Amino acid sequence: MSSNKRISSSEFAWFAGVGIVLALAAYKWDGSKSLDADFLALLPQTQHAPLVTAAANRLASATQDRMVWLLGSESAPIAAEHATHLSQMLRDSGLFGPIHGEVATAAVSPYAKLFPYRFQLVRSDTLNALQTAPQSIIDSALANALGPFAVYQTQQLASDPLGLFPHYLAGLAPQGIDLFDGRTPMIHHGGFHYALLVTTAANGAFDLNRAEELLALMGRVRSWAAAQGVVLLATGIPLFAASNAERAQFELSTVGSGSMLGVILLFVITFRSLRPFLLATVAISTGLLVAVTVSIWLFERVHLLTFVFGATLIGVSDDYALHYLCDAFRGPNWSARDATRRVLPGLALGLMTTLAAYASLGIAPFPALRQISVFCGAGLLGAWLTVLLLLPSHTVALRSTPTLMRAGLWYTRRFPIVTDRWVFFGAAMACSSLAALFYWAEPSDDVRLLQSKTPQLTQESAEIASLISTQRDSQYLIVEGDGVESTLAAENALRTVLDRLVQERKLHAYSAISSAYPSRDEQAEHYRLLKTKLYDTGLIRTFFDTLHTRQNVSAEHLAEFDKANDRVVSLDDWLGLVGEPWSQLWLGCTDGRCASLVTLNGYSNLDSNDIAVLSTLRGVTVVDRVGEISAMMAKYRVIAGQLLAGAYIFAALMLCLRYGVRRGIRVLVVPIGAALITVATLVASGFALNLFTVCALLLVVGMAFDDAIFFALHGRTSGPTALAVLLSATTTLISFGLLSLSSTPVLRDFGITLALGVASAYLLAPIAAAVSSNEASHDPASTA
Amino acid sequence: MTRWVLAVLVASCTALASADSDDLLRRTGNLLDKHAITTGQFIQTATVAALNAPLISGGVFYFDRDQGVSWHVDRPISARFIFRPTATDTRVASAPTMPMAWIGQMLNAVLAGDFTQLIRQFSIDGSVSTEHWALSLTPKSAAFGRAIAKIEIEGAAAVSRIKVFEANGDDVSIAFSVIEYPDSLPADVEREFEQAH
Repeated sequence: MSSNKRISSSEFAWFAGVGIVLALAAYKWDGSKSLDADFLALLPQTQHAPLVTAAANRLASATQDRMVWLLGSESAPIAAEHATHLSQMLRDSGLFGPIHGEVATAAVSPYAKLFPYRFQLVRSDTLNALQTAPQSIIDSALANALGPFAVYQTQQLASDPLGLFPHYLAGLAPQGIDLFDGRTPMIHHGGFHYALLVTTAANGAFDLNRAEELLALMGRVRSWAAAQGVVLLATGIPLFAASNAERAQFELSTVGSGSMLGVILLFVITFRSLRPFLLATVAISTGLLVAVTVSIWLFERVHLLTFVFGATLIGVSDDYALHYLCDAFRGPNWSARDATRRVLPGLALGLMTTLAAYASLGIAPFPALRQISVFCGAGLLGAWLTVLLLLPSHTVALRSTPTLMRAGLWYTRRFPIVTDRWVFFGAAMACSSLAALFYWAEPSDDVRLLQSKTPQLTQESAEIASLISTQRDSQYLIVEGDGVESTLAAENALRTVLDRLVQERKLHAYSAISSAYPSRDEQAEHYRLLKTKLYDTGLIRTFFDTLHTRQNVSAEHLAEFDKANDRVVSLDDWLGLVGEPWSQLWLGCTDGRCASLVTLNGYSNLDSNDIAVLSTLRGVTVVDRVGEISAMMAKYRVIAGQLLAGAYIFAALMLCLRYGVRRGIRVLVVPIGAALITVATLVASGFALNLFTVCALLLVVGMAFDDAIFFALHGRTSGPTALAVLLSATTTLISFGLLSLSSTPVLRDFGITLALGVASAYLLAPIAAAVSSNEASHDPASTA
Repeated sequence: MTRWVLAVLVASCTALASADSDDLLRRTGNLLDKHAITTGQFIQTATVAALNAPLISGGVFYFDRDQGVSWHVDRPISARFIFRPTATDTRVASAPTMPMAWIGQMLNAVLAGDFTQLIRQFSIDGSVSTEHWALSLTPKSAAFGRAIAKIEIEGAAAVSRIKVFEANGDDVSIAFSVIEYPDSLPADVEREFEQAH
């Protein structure tokens, strides 16, 4: 019975603590602003020069809130017409800012201001022709003038008779995209015509609060497109974030309510009373509250994945309450004071091993792992403290022998008695098999493990990338130099290598400022080339004469050409006029050092030789975040593996010192055996080992030690221990089993590994009980 | 009340007008022969203020409903152009790409005898008799209107003339003759279409 009606000092401490935590949580919680759903937020920060960081930010901010929409039809006019309607639907939703096609913005007005520099801004193929066959330029201009409806050529005879300016402009527009009806950007592929729309978020940043709205809009747009018989493709980080948020919410409630249901069911069957269940619920809720509070205080934003994983706390943190409550089955003589004395050593050891296991998740600099580590650690501590502070005054002795206790005892009693020699042998065998498995199994260190699987979105995104050649790889190049001119010169040197790679069909395409903007020297050189090859040689004269151009018109042109002699358009002016996407490629200058960005399409086709050639070029840095992160995952997978080995060695030493070698190895064989069964099952069913499965194994060690320690301390015939271990294993198994259904590979791998580990740990745990356990049964004193 | 009546009147007039232009195009289409392949000769005369004399060029064209138009200028110089039926830019076989989408669309639409595609960009007016038809196209958008004032197209069983009046007063006229409907294209023209893909 609870000792009296007055609040004990430990209860008071608990209430005060919960009050403080609640206040802290209320102070810090800031709705969805405290949440992250973006896959990128899960990736580790890699140490980089400020320039690389600036480049990464530039690229990220260019894509963060952008969505690309394609409407495909076999008829270009139909695609264009539907694009107009789609753009109206998108505008009406209020979710987006200005909606435009990428080319539409680039193809109109600002270019008029570049017209005065038409003799300086010359496209590269024109330059080649000037040097090798200037006559061909005259010939094609004549062809255009004599072609059907030669409007431009004849209208611009005085200012741009050769049509070089529109040719230069055509080179600025993204390749493969053209304007239909002069206004709808369109891509043509395999008999299909895709109208292109680009949207940005309404207030400059996508608001996770509006994820549902965005998904509802997507639903409407998709069914509209289906009804109209047009193909709709959409991609963009907001879309992925929204769908991740939706799935995370769904998974959170699945894991959470599933675990809770399991806990309720088991408690009702076992205790046949509301009180234990309420007490356990208080412990679990306190744990969750502490977990959330500590997380939002420690991290600026908590990722939704953390919460999904955190929902497993329900199944894990009820263990402490269970061990305490099950102890109450010892009968009428049960007292809270004895119970605490009896259960505390096991609870303390259990908490320490589990906390150590969760803490070890934080070694790898992956935000996801660190958040999970902190969330679960804090949650367990909160639940544990609640059990110790609150439960003693509210727990009452229980008389019955629940069915599940009989079931638990049935299993532990039937468990074969294994002699020390076999335990040693088994431990040695398990250790070496485990090491062998780790050595031989093919690991996988793929960043995509962190990415939620949304097959339709992923596939659409890939389709769009293949349709739009300006889609960028996540790998890119940074070019540096002392000043604008030397940066452009370094880019030119780089471009000769890139052009070769494009020619060898390794690289699909690349974007570099220097391919469209000539440096000051080059501008002068372009003018000089035009002058010496076309004007001084009299070729332009023959052009005018062939067309019978009026004397005053050709004279006007020659005067215009002379007047343009020393015009120079500065990089800043040029960038201001052409705007995006070109302006995104210039990182600017600080203290005389300038830098630009070269984006690539097709990096994955390059071999290590090509990459080595690129990175040895002067001023060029290859930035490969995907590669870096994969390398980091591999590195920390090995470190986590070593940590796992270290954990075993440390635990072995501690256990042998505390309980002697014989009993120590008995306890140790449980986590080692559980790890072996888990890894063997994973490898046999085709799962590759990765950083996250190895981290999950660390947790398996912690949880298996828990089970083993309770058997070691209380023997295998102790009813309350058998019951508590069975119940805690079951609830934990439910939680992780549900987690293994997650659509995010990392959570799924965690769930599967832990479910396997917890199940095998339970099955092996009775080994930990001392062989002479008969004498230990029902004799709590012997465990002290 | 008056305003309301006016609104109804205007609305019905617009409906009538569009029904008219639809009818016009349908009847024009009925007059035209429809074949998979059409070939013929052309003479283009450009009257340009900047030039002392009209600029005259001539040659042959090949039209394939699926593949588009291959335009061979033979005199005064030789040049070749390809205009795909639905592509929005021109692929010019021997000259740099020029952003002249409407030219390709116009040629394809006119040679296919399918003027419905043009309604999007032009207001269409004209007359159809039992054998002969004439259409007058005015650009709908202001931007387009700054370059092109009006386009006149006329013909009978086949198109016989297209005349483009530019906004600056210049004009370009194309006269078609020797229209034939062969079963297949010459091999070199087939190759041109293939290469333009």
